[in-house]
Amino acid sequence: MPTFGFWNVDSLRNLHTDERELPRFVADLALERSIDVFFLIECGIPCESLMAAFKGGPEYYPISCGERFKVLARFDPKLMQRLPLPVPSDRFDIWQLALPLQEDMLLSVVHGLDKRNNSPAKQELFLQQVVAALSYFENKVGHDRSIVFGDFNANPFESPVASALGMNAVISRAIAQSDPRRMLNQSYPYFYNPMWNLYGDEPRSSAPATYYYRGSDPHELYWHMLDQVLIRPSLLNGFDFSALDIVTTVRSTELTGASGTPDRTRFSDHLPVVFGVDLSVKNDKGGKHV
Amino acid sequence: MSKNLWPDFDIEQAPRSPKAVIEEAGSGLEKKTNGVVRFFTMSTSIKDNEVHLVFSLYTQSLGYHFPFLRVKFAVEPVYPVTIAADKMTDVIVANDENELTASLAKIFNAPSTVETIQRLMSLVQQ
Repeated sequence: MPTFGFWNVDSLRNLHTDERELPRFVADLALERSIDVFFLIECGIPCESLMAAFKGGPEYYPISCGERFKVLARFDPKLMQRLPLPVPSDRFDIWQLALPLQEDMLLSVVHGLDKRNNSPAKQELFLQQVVAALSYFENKVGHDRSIVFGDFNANPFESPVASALGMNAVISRAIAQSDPRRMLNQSYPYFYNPMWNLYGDEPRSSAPATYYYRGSDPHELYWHMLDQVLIRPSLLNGFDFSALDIVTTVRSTELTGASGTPDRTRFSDHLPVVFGVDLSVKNDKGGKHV
Repeated sequence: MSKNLWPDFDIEQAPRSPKAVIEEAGSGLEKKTNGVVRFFTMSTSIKDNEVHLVFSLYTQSLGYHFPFLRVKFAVEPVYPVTIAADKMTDVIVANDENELTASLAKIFNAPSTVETIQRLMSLVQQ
């Protein structure tokens, strides 16, 4: 079963003054969790620096991606084909992963528009573009075994993620597996959002969410689940819920500070997420809406 | 009763809805692209007394909608209209039909919009 990981490492700015040992922790995390494909978001670290950190371990290869991302895989890059977006964007990418003797799937990594500079309408418009591009490729390949993940810059309950005019990602497996939502003769297929299950204090070995922000709003959430994995229903049977995890420790090193919040000085203001999908499972609802 | 008590109606006098203004403004795209790309009303919804519209750039031969504009206005009065457009940094506010038309002209002529449409046209030719 392939294991995937992603982490917003917040390293697009001030790269020359950045003293964090991110390549080492990226490599340690990938090796400790046996991650097959690791996606780094907001990553300005050169590929060579990342690859050098893996020295002595199993071989990882860089996968073609946009400038905002870095992708490392533990297999021949030919098995993970980057798909040319109909309208290019530097904020998301889509690949077709075809591992030997396994069902192929579509993977998309996203870095959503931030809330400070963009209205919810703008955030939704961008995520609609992600869904439109993914649907385009689902139609092309003839199935909807797709997963979209990354930093959406919106919580699971906020309209960019939950609205039919955004990602249309729902809290319930039963809803996700039902017929696509119909509004005014338009069909909106669902994603299932398993991150709802990880939002909160349990289990205590993890964090309440992936991002912490202490603002001045009277209604302050503090912890935000900005980093999410959204699954098409056709992959639900193969999704390993026990493998889905917000990572707080890498080789005994805490990614959080004394207050339990992400240690942005040493690591990142986001925590990494790992998940696994069994692609050998034959799913009875595959390709339903395409 | 022989006399019709109703007055005469002139539909031309009725204020046009922002949706009609936008659809009319966008309709010229098909001609400009030789039928390759259409300006398409992707969705219409009403929530909390507000009308929400999404317009796409649609290429029929690819079966691909590129979500392009998000528009919001109240049921009554219909202005101001707010527009979130692809690759435009700010949300644009139009306070009347003239401002709406001027905003659409600015969005349609933005280099990023021209580039997107040319990209879609070249994809169709491939």
